[in-house]
Amino acid sequence: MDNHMTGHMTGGTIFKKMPVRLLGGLIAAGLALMLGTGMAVANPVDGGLGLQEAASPFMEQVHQFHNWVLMPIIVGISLLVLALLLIIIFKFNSKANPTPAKFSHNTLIEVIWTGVPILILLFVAVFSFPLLFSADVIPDGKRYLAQDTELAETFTSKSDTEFVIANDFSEHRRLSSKDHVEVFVIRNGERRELTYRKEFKLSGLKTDEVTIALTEPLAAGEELEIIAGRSRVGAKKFLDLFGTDNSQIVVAPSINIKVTGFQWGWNYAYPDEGDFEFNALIKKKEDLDDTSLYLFEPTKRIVVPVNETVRILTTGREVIHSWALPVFGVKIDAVPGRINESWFMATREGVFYGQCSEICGKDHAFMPIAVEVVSREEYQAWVDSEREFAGLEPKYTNTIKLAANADQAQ
Amino acid sequence: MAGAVQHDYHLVNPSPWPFIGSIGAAMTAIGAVAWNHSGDGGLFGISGPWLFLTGFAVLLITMAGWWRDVIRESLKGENTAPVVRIGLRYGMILFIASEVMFFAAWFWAFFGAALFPGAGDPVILTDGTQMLNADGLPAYLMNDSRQHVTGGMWPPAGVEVLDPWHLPLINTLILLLSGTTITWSHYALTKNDQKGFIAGLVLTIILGIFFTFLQYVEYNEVLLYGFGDNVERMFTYKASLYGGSFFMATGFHGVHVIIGTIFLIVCLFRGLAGHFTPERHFGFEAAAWYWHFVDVVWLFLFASIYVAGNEGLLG
Amino acid sequence: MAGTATNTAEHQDDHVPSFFVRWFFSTNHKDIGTLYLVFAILAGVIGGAMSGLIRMELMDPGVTFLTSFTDQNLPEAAQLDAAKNFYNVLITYHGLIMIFFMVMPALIGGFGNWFVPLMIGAPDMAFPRMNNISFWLYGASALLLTLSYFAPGYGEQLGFGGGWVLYPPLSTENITGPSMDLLILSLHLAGASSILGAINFITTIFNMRAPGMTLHKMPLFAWSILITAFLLVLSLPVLAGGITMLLTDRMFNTAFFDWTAGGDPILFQHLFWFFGHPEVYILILPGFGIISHIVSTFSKKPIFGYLGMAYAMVAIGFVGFIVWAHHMYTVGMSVNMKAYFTAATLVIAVPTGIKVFSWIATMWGGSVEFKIPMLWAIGFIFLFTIGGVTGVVLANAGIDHALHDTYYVVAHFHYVLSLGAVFAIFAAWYYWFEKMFGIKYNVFFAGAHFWLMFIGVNIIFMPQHFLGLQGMPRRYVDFPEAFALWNHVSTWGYLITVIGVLAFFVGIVASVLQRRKGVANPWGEGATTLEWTLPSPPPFHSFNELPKIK
Ligand code: HEA
Ligand code: HEA
Ligand code: CUA
Ligand SMILES: [Cu+2]
Repeated sequence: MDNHMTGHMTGGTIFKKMPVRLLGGLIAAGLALMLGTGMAVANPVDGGLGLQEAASPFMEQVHQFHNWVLMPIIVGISLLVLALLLIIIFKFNSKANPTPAKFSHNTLIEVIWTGVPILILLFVAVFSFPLLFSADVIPDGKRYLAQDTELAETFTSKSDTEFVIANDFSEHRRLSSKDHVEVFVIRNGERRELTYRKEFKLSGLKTDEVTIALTEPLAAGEELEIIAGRSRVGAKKFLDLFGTDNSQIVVAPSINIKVTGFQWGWNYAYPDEGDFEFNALIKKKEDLDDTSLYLFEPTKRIVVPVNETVRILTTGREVIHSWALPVFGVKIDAVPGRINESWFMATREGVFYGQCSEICGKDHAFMPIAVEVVSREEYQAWVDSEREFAGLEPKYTNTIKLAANADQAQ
Repeated sequence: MAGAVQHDYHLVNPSPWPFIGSIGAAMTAIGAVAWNHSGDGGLFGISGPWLFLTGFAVLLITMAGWWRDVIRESLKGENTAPVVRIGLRYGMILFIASEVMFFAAWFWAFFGAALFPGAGDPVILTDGTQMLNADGLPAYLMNDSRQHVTGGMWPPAGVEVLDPWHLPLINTLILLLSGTTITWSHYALTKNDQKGFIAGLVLTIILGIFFTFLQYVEYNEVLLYGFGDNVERMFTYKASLYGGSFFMATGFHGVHVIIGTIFLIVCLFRGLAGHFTPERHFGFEAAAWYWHFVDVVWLFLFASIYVAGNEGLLG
Repeated sequence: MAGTATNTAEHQDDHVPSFFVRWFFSTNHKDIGTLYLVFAILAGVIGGAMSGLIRMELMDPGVTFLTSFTDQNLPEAAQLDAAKNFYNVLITYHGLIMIFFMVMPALIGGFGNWFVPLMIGAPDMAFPRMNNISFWLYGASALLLTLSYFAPGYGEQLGFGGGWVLYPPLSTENITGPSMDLLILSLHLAGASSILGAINFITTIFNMRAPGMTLHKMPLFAWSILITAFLLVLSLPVLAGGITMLLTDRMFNTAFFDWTAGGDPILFQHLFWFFGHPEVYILILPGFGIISHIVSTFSKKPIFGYLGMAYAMVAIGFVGFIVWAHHMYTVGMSVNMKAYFTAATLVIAVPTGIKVFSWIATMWGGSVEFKIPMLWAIGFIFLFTIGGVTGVVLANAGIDHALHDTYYVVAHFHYVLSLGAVFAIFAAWYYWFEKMFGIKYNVFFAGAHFWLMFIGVNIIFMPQHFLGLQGMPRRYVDFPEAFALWNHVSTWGYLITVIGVLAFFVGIVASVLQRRKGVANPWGEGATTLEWTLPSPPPFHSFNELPKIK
């Protein structure tokens, strides 16, 4: 629960409306930037045994699937086979058991070892398919706020406890279950999720309009935020029984990044943010302060805001490359002539590294990827500096220009 | 020790042909590469077609020698026991099965293009406009460049295709007819009607050659004039999605027709030499099966590439 | 007109032809089998040496080792470039050699040729002369592969470095030298060889079983080869088509994979994996057959659930044809396709599980003797299970986004190949050594071989799972420090393995020197198949009189 709420708390849109918060955010961000790559957590660790630490709800879901479903099963099966072999070695060796049995059939046991694996695989599938759909369906959740803004839709209020949102999703994606709506109350920037049934009720699911009825009206100074959609991603309650629900409805992408792999580097463009693009090549070992980042650190990182959904659009220039970022659980091929899409939502600020993951010739091992996750303000400042560099007018005039990003613009 | 042979299987004597044939195959393959790279320095100092041609000659000699041996063995009755003949049947059927799978690859390429000539959804940015691709054209998910090349349709925009109801239809009828003549020939053979056997076979061969001739006429027309309005979209085999899949699929079929015709011609000579009896004529039977296979492949080509594809029923 | 009379005339005696005729013009399944085994051992040495170069380079971060194989007169940067390309070439040829020139010739060409006819009581293969061209086409194919390794590929650099999967456009537009053309034609020849071989096996098995041996009485090794042969006949031609398209795209400028003309590089991946996935079962099914016999022999018990075992292989072979795109989860397929391929792939675990548990049940209650072949077989069962269950992890498209093209995949397939198929090969080697060569193997070196390799390969490949989970991509000549430890361990594992392989060769020499004469059946009551009824080595022409099966 905690994770989940702090996740949303730092959300850019909230800052935007509150100049005081904004300043605080900037100070924090500046501090973080001074710490530089020290922020980088959740990247590979030498001697590490498992998956990299997650930095996105999708990767958390991958963790849950791998660590709690697959690992126990595959380790269990391997140990079972090992144990049976050991029993044979100790009990049925020719000394211990000089006269062999002669049986060669046992219908019951054969049915069991056919049936039980089927059940195990069905169990795996229960987790596997939702995970796949989380990965593959670009989130289309919507955020509804009382007032505002570019990034959010507004709802209508019927009374001071009844709020209506339009169920205008595409045909197979319409709201139809309580899992498709999340309701938050924001007070002084603190965001609290309301519990279904106790604090709010839903009606009109599957119809054109969905009504959210609060059991108590909002207090003064409180604001309502509704997130709706089918794209629920993240570690869920295990079998709806154990653990906490850390999943969340992910809203539709607010940023598209066009990634073009080439021999050997990446070209990035932010088509929503204006006509600029840049190349990221490998940073030479000599140019690195921390040489352990050699092969991870490109000459230029891409920058994205935290807690916002980013859509990645990949293509290749001459051969196939693959854009991979393990902490987000993203890997998507960059194929010449084709455009592929994937998405991620970073839940933590920091710098995250990936590498090209499809053999692309001589320097396949030398085309690193780095994503710097920052607050929305910093992101906007970064966009403006990129625009400036490309000779464009700033887009986000309301943000302060950050000196710390200047070296990135080169 | 082993004792006398008490079974009907065919134990073949050591033969030089596999070894020689493999050398020929290696020479042909290496020669092909060297020939193809003649323009950019050849291969290990070899250039020009000589190695390829030599290798190919070795292959032809191998085939001739090998099958000559098989025929001799058959005349001596070494490979004619019923069980051996059943084995040969299995062999031929499996060989044809593998050929079918080979054509599956070419049909896969064709249908992959014809059924999906376009791309996925347009790539829409947050402001509702469509993203541009690297060429500055509106971008689509998935097979973006194909969408722009074909215009999202099959046959691709700008490609002028052959009329299926013209020579292709005639060719279809020719092959269908040849399917009946070869059956006639076979039937006559089993009824010990030597005249009918030869007549049917000769007719089949003539029809086969006629088919090849008509294909040649049609290819020639396309290759000379190239059908279409711009270089990338023209119907030629070069740099053209339509042309490449058309020529490779029909071309491999054509090669098989020629091989099948040669096979039939060999059978004709063997038939004239009296090698076949109403009970024992597996060589002929294999040729007939092969011919039917070639025939069926054509029907699929005709139905999918010429009719469904060219008439715009697929994409 | 039945053949008996005429055949007798020429094959009455056990006449062995002169050396040249015997080994170059052979029409004898046992001799051809031996040729295949020699071929496979040579390829194993070369492929193994290549993996050594790979592991030495990956011992520590930095491109340091392979630069010593480059022209030392070149400037440093050029040496570095050459080394990077060399690495890609090494992994490509390592993969190709191990799969096409080591495992396949050993299991199918070698043991298949030797023992399918013996086990079904046939005097030879159905088409003995065609059998020989299968072998020599392999020779031609190997020649082309070798030339390809030494021909220019990427610019001036020698060899093709695009991975064994040969994906375009890297293999069409980017690596333009003759190396790739030679490689394609090499695979054509290998494919033709295997198709002819497969036709031969199917015909032999369908047509030449001894009187009374119905399919349902046929030994499981013959079953496994039968199914493998079907997979070959149906899948290889599709690869042939795919690589022909590569060739015409390269040579004649067709546009199958040329995206600028509307072609699609992904098409090749479909064609390749439509072959490639059945191929991995081609590599393992004969091993399944071998393991069944060994387990039964040394437990002195009949195989548990014989029919289930046979039809489990049929099921694996069948389902193997409809799962290919699980190698392509990240290419941008639609989510429904991925969901289908996930489901289909998971299904394969069921028949495979039937096999694993039936082997265990065969041993259960047995009087098990842990002779060398049995050690390999038990090693196989355990290690193959590990490799199999990581396959089940990869089968899930959602998680494959994290693991595709990482060392997790490398670990998976080496567990099923280098610790699966190769263990089966060595199991078969020791199981049939005495039968094939008429002398006993040296027990000491055979034991050392097993234990060193068992320990070694686990140290090589177990840590690679961790690297993969941590995200280390495959086909990387150099890696960041974060992956240093496990790579280092892995390379040490290789060094242990090499000593094991050495013990294999010393063992051969020792057994040849010792010349302890073999007996017809060294394994006793457990060995029930027909090959044990013949002397060791079997006569040049076995079963001149067909055995009768009750
Ligand atoms: C001998 C070769 C062999 C074999 C047998 C297998 C067997 C399997 N393989 Fe593997 N595989 C390869 C060789 C092989 N593979 C190779 C070479 C590659 C990489 C190619 C490349 O990219 O270069 C690859 C890659 C590969 C991938 C692609 C990974 C990627 O690139 O991202 C996948 C994904 O689904 C996969 C899955 C499987 C599965 C599900 C099986 C199953 O058949 C395994 C079934 C076995 C078991 C599961 C164990 C025994 C069963 C039990 C004890 C019963 C109980 C079990 C359960 C209920 C789970 N394999
Ligand atoms: C059967 C297949 C097989 C086998 C046995 C092996 C064996 C080994 N492999 Fe390989 N490997 C592949 C198939 C195989 N590999 C494939 C397909 C790839 C992918 C290529 C690509 O990415 O394109 C690969 C890639 C690959 C990589 C990844 C490279 C990269 O991605 O950058 C590495 C790295 O460590 C590696 C290492 C090893 C090692 C240390 C062994 C050791 O186990 C080697 C020890 C030696 C032996 C086990 C051989 C002994 C055998 C004999 C002497 C023959 C005996 C014969 C008879 C008795 C008849 N291999
Ligand atoms: Cu780019 Cu690998
Ligand atoms: Cu597979």
